[in-house]
Amino acid sequence: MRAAFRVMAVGALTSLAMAGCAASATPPTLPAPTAQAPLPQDVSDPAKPPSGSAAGDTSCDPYASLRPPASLPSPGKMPSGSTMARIQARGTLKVGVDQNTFLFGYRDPSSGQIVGFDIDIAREVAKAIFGDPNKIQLVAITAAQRIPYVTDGTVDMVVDTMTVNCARLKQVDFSTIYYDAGQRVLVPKDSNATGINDLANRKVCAASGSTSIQNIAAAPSRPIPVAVADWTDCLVMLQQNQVAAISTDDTILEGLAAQDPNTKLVGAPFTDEPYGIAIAQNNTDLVRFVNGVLEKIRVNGRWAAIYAKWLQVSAPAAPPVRYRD
Amino acid sequence: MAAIIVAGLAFGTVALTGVAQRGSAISDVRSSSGPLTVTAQSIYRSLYDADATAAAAFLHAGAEPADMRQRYENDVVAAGAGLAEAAQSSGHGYAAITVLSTNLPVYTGLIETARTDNRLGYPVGGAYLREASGLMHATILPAAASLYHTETVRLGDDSNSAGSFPWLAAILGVATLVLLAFTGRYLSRLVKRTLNLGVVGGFAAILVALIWLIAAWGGVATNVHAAKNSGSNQVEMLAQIRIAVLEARADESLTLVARGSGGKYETDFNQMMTRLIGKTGSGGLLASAQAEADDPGVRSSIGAVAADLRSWLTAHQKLRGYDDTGNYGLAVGMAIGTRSADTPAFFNRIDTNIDDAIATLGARFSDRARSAQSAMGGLAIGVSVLTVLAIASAAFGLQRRIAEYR
Repeated sequence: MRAAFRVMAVGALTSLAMAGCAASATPPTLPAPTAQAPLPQDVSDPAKPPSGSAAGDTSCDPYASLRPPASLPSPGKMPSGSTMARIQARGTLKVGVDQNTFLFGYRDPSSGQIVGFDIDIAREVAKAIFGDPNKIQLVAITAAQRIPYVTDGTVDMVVDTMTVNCARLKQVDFSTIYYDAGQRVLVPKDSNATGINDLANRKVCAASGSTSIQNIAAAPSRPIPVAVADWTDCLVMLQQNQVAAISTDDTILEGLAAQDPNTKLVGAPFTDEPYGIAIAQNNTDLVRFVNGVLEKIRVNGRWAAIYAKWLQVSAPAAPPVRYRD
Repeated sequence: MAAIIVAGLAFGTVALTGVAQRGSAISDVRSSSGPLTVTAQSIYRSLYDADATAAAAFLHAGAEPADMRQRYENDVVAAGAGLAEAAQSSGHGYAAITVLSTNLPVYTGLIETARTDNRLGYPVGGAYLREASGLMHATILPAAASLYHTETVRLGDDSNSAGSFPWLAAILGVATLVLLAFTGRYLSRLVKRTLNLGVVGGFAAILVALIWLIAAWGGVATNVHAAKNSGSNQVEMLAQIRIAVLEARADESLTLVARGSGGKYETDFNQMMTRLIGKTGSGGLLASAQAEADDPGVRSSIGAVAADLRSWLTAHQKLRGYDDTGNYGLAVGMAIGTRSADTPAFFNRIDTNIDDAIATLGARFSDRARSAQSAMGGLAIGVSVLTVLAIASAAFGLQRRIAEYR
């Protein structure tokens, strides 16, 4: 009997002990995380080397475009069979513009509309075709999309701080020059740099597909070009201390500096950036028509008014105009 | 006799260990991996909705409307709370939770910078919004998806181990019974008494323990299986549907925000719609979910979602028509308006119906898990007591006989 009880006791204890065993977990060794700064989407750092140099090719005259017709057709009465007649039949003028370049083409957050110097120029063309500057469809595009959208007909023209150069003239046609800019440098206020020559081995930002990024890559002081999708992405990177400077046309830089008082423009313009309206090469009648519109607004003061409205200083003389035929 | 004691002890020990393991697995299913799967899915949904809301708010002229701001803030709070819960109970998702915890404040910081610049009228606000959205989609959402996946796998493992048949215990129990039966027969031959009460008592006790063990296993397995099928599997399906709906909503807004260079968003929207309702409008994920659903309330919710998706698609095509002919203002009006024909009306109803269906299924899952747990009620004590009784009874019975022969 005692043996039985002993056995029972041992048995009970063993069972309970085993059932009560729980696997003990060892706490994991935790790796220490490090801070990682966010980046804008589609940043190329360093930028891929551009194909062909911008300033190298001097075989053409960017200021020379097609001669306008002797008299412009009246709004709403475009010559039949012409590109303008097709646009008139469609009902709107489709224009590729930027929505990220303050003062030239940007989305005004308080109204939700895209406005700017380039937009007003485009509206002058719409007014000349339709009699109404609002018969326009503004298609916001990136710098890299400007030429493809014109060549494949997605838009009728592009008015987007677009520098005319010989390389681009091989792919699209341009109107006469409606604005003359030059490339400069934007740095934080506490920077010692006085121009592109002080930025050796420093990161300098510009939009991919622009002449600016090509000029940075070609600069003798050898800065490191960083390419982004839109100009405001450059300002984000400057504010996040991810680039040392932004270099592009002084007009675009003025727009960026206006959004951040802790930046300053430095350096004299080291390139010439004449702006034209890009139009598909086989629409020569539209090129002539647009040149006629531009000539009209130069003469009747409208160009000076648009300049004063956006850049808030009275205009210097309008850029030189030449015709190649 | 020693053999009987050893066999009995072995059966008892193995049975108890098995009970303890399954009990812990069910407890995990009920209080850890089960709820955490729901939490992880809810974190993903809150984060995605926050980003989609921020993108839609950008379309408004001027400062964003108060109700959109409130929706964004609610989403961020929900994601943060879910994250705290996951961090506390999940031992396995550390890497994903770290990525979420460290990047969520960066994301909200970027959104606030975008808001401030927007209020000042600076287009750089749009650039910060794009950067925030990029961070969300490239880093944060994949981490949330990985957390959901980790918890789902864990739930599967816990369910499987809870519902697995106790082979070893059953074999040992049967072996003990056989041993007791042979001993009983041997004794009755030896002493010419028909039955030794001690051995019979031992046999009966082990038999009861074995039957109870197997019956309990049956109850647990049935409930766990049902919890998986009608609970977590269907919830998984609804989670997929919800994610596709959110992605479509974000695509619709982003196409308009990009203003002409958003072709890829529109393509993705159409892909999401095909995934949800198929090319004909009555197939896709919704049809599968409808076929799986066995609860009438869930069925009708899913049906309502499918109908609203079809209406949304029609409204969306009208919206695209406006945008493609240059009537951007009318297109934006349809995307953010409050009329019954505007797209937010459909999206909000879809969201609510999916919420309801997931809540119903979640409650059913909890019920089943609770039933599984109660199926094991008293099993540990019962098996212990019965085993000890069996051994004692057999030992007592045999002892008497052995004593008689000394």
